Amino acid sequence: MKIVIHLKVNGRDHELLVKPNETLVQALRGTQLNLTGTKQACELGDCGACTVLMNGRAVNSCLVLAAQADGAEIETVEGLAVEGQLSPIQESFMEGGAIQCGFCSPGMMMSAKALLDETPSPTRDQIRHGIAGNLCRCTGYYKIVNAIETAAHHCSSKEGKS
Amino acid sequence: MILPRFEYTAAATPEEAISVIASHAGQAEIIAGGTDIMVNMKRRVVHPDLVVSIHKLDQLRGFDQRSKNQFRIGVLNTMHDIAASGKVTNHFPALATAAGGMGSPQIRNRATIGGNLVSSRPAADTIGPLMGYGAQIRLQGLKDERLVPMENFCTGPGECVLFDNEIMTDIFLDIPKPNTHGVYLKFGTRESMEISIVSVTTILTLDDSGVCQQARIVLGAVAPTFVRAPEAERLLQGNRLSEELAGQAGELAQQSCNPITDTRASAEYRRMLVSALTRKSILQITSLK
Repeated sequence: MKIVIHLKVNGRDHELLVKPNETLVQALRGTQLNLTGTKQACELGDCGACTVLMNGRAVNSCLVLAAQADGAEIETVEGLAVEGQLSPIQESFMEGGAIQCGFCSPGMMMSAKALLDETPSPTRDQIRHGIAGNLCRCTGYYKIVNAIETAAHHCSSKEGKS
Repeated sequence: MILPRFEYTAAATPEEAISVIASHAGQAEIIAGGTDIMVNMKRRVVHPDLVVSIHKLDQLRGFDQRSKNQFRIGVLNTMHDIAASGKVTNHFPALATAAGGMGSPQIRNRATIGGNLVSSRPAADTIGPLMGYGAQIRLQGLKDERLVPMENFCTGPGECVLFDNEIMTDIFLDIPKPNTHGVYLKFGTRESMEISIVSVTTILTLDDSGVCQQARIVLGAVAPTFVRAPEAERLLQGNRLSEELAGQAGELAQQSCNPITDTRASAEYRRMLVSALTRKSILQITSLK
């Protein structure tokens, strides 16, 4: 039996019909929302490619039942840019070569957003712990850590709005 | 990996959750944060007909000090909630360390302490500290409730005393006596996303002159369930902490463990780690006080 849920996704309210065994990442990527920026990879909570913010906190959307997310506020990578203007995190990932194949980038950027929302000026160690749940098989993380550091500088000079 | 088919309901009260799982005799599973059961369902380790979410039960959340010396932790608190709680960090630092070092930020934001206990893994992060602090687990059934000491809760790898018609609701802890120090040490090959190869929880109460009055040492991932190290505890009690005593306690702690060799470490290496971590935990407390 399908279940009706209400989600606020990237600031917009949606009513969705989901299966009892549907995950949040499936609901986001499905035909009702079509938000395919969030990636599905390991599907077991190991890789972080499906990271979204749920009520402001980073979660693996492959391990959340869509039905359990009823009433939640979800932010995905599609919500980072505002009116076509890329966010500082996206800019610094692009400029700093922190994206290679790009598959980890949406999850990586959402973890970065969660980190910077809570810790606007993180140390490099805090950044590494902030993205500890996100695997990247291309970059070796160095440029990703640099990019998040750059984004933090940019945000703090613009008073912490990412 | 696709989830098997099941029906879903979100309970509005603890009583509803209990009566629903009781009427489904072993065919229903409780879900809270889901970080463990979602993986187990995807891997077909469990395949319930019905999944009952308890995430709306606010009475199972929160921290509160019930009386002058009793503290309550609701089972729905996430690892993040526990690590971020000033009261937990203040009274039960070993528990806060264990919760804050578990998995990844994403996992800590969903995984609940109740789930960590029910999963009853020999390497679970919060079981050692809760045993060290002498926690009691409240289980609620259809008609009655019971309190089970953490020490008696797990019965084997992945097995615990919780019945099919019960849910876990709260964790009760006595506020430690003044001058009590707690340390949780987890050995792994990396800092995050790691299952401990060995963990040691050491809780010591000292008197003003630095003599150990009460000692609890709990070893993780070296036996089917968490175990105390009574010989090492007895050695410390009544004695002034020193480097030599810490070393001796480490040697004695080995007697209490019964590790296996698996892909992550050999039994012999685990025994050596028990000694090294026990010693280190005592020395850390010596430098803290």
